[in-house]
Amino acid sequence: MSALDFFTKWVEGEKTVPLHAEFEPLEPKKAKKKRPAAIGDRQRLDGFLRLYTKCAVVISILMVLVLLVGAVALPAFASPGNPTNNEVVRRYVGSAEEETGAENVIAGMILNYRGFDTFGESCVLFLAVCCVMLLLWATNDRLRGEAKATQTEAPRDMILANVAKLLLPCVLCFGICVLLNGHVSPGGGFSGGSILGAALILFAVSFGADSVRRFFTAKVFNAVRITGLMVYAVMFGVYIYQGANQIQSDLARYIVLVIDLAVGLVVMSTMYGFYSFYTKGEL
Amino acid sequence: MLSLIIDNRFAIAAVILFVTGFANMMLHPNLIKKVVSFNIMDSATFLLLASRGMIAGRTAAILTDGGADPSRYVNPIPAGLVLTGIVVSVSVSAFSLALIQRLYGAYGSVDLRDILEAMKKKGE
Amino acid sequence: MIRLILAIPFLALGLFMFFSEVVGFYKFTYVMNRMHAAAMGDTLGIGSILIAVGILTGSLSAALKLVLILVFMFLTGPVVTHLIAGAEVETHKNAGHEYQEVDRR
Repeated sequence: MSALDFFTKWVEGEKTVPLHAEFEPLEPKKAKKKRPAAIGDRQRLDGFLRLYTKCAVVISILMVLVLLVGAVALPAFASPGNPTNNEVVRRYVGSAEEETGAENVIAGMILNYRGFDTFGESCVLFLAVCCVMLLLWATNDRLRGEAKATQTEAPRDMILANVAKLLLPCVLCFGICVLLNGHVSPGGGFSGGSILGAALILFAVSFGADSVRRFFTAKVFNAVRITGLMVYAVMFGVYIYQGANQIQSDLARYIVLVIDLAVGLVVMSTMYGFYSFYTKGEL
Repeated sequence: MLSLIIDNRFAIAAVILFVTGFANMMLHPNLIKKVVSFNIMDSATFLLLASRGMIAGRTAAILTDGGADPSRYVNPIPAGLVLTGIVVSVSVSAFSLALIQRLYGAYGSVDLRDILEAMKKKGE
Repeated sequence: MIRLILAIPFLALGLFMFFSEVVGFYKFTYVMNRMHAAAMGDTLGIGSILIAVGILTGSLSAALKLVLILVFMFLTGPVVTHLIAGAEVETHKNAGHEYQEVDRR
């Protein structure tokens, strides 16, 4: 059996023999001594949990006192002597419009000046979906049988379907508007992507998952996620190569919309992926 | 004393919310309530971060028709930190809920005491 | 100033509705009672607070947008109540004893 077969079997959770099965252990393992059941197991657990509760209360009270002392010593709310009132405001706000092409200075900052942090966030979202896939994607019959206890599909509801027919166009249009206007008004990739993801979830709940699978199959899901993350990786690889200051290019004003779209699409597929894995165990 | 509380009202509210979430997370045996308490702790952190960014007399960092006058806008960086925090909070909650679903499938309960007891029985 | 005086009764009403919703949510034992308490905050509570906010902003376009938000909440609130009630009847252990299905035709 090759190493690839071994790895595949291990990922799918089937019992495997070690690769080098011809080696034997040096000495036979000693039999484990059974603990005498003097106190019942449930009683020991309850005793430990009672001690844990007392410790938890003591730790919480200590934490409240320490943090309150710290919170009172902070500078007053909205005072001009705040540490955030520094030269960063003048630099970022003063030249945000020419250099990033965004009037929403926050969006321009997270996509251009501090874009590497946003790349990290996209990676975190990508990894979260990968971890949920590892835990919950039922690819063979054994996993599907185990998952039957936790995953159910609700029957189609007439009231929900009719209200969804009214509301879905509004929610989709609102989501697209928030996503595309992210660099001009409050909004942007994350909020627009969340609204679009919620619209997809509403569509799946009210009309059944098969109607979403007509245009959002597993291949489209993976393609959207990977393309979004790769666009990000390429753009911010160039950013780091140029000195990690800002995107030093004359085109920087025009590509803020593309970067925003990449973020929005990754977030939308993440939200729908979570819903789909929790309720059905597949995409 | 009262002026001290009013000067730092958002920081004190954030601290109280944080410790509420923390104590709930330690004391509830139900795993899903622990995830909810974790989200309360996250909200407290965002409240503290966003309230530290406010400067009196200035508004949010979205350029309106007044032009790019830096003395009228707030520093945009605390808002960026809160955005990152929200994304991390959502990802951690999603992963914890997936773990809880597998635990429920394996042990049949979401209560921590029942799961610990069943784990000990399986180990013997 | 006169705007504040006009808005205060609506704010007080909204606060009272939300307070009674939270107290009811924690004190009732049955799911249907808790759902009824939650629906109170969703309709009269948010309605009066949105009216108060509309009076306080003073611009007509903002007030019209708030009315649209209210319409959205009134469209989605009853649907959510219906779904929660359906889920409760499906999964409750003693559903045959405590709930009685009425013929819907």
